Amino acid sequence: MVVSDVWPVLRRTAVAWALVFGGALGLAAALAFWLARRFQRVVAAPLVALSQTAEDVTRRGDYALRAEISGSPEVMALARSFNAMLAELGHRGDVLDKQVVSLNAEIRQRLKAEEGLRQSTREMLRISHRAGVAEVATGLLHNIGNALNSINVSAELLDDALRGRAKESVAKLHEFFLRPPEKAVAVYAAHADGETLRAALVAGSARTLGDLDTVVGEFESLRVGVAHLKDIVARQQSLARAERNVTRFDLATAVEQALVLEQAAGRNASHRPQIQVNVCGGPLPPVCSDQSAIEQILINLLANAREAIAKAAPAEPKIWIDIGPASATHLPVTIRDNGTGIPANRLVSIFTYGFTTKSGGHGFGLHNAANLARLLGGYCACKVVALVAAPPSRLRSCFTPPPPRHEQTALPNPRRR
Amino acid sequence: MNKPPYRILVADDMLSIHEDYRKILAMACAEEPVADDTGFSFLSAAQPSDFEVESLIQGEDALSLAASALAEGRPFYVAFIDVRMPPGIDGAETARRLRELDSAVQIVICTAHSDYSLADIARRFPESDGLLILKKPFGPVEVQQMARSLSRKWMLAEERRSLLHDLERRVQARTVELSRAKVELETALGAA
Repeated sequence: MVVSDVWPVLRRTAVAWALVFGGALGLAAALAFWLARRFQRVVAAPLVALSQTAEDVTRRGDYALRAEISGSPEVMALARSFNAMLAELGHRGDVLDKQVVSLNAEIRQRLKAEEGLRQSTREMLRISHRAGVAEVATGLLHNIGNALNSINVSAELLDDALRGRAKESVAKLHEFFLRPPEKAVAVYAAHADGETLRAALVAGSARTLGDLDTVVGEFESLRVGVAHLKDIVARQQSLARAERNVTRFDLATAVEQALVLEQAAGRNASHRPQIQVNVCGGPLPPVCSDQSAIEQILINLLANAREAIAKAAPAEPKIWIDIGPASATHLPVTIRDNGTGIPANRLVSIFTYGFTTKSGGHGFGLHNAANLARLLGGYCACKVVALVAAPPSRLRSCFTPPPPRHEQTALPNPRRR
Repeated sequence: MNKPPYRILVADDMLSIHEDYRKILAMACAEEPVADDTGFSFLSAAQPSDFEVESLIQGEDALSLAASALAEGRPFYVAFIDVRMPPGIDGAETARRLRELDSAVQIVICTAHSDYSLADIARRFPESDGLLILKKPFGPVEVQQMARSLSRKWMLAEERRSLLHDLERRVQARTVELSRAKVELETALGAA
């Protein structure tokens, strides 16, 4: 009976406890949910936003972005620090940018200064060369002037001796002996014993002989003077065969240098052709020759090409420079332009003195180039190629300056190096 | 003293030019043959030259010769100086120092070309009445005439100097004499 009373009590108690546990669990869950929501709002969301901002900054590289400041004090402090860091990064970036810009400008300036320096050095070399030439010319004038002086003096003394005294003496003696004997005797007799007259005749003939000696001596000194002049001239000619300043250099560098110099010279030209440099036939062997002479040749040919272009005024002015391919002995440079061409019948005369197509030209540039090329053991030649797209009368000129002979001695074969 | 031969100094680095001066000045003589009735005076023996030439190849040597000649009382009347005389000092410098040494000497600067422009040379000698310029190549006649007229000029200046000197001496003598006479006269008057 006791047992039968126990069960309902137990059931009630159990239900009551179950209710209590259920309520407590529900309360706990609600509390947990509320806590989670609050955590989400105060901590997690601002952190996510912060990391999103960081990601944006990385992706866009934009240091002007700023993180939103919200959430717990700690997160807000973190966001503030993050923003401060961004601001600092942005500032440093700006400074760096500015530095890069000024660095670039400085590099450009230095390059320009270096180019200027190179040009001044070349100019200095040219000037000192000219000064040397002037010095040689001054010495030459001095020597020639002195030799001429002696020649002049001899000539005038000869003139004086022959035309003046000697001739006069001989003429008067001649006249005396032409007189009839009795008259001569009369003159002779006019002197006490004739001795005075005899003495005068002896002195006079001695003097005439002396004059003749002078004449012979002056002729000799004239001959010496002229020989001296000849010697001076001959020595000068051997000097004029010019010691070439032979160095090893890269032909492409010489072409670049010639372009720079020629452009500097033609700075005011109205037609600025596009210039295309091609190296043909693989890497170029170094060249042993007179670099400044080669550059002079190239400058003359480039100037010619530019003038041809200025005259024809094509829509797209252009100059092509092909370097190579090297043969065993020569390294050609070909300069082509799309200016006025050269008539086929003038191809041979183009490099002779006086050839010009310009109204004011003196025809010296190409001639000079060809002469220089010949001195260096090369040559200048001209080909005419009809432009495919142009009417047949429009021809394209093509110069092949020599470059450098490669002799066994001073100018070795480039391929052996 | 101031009779020929006139003393000429030549400074030029070329020996051939020394020879030129010598030849030119050797044939320069007054040559006024005494007339005689045979009509053969033209055959008389050559007269000695009016000039005595000494030549050197360097400016410094010419200066020391000029100094010693001056000290010996045989000064040069005229100096012909080449502009260019390597390796020593040039003609302009030689001329300047010669002028310092001897204010009376007449200088001819001789030039074959323009190391200096002629204007430059003239500018270096502001009082340039004692300086002439002779251009190479020169001829005998111009050298003779320069040598002769500059020698005469030198002599006239010398003559004037000695006349002045003489005059001064005489004036002084006269003054002494006069003052003595004056003293004597005063003494005589005092005695009376």
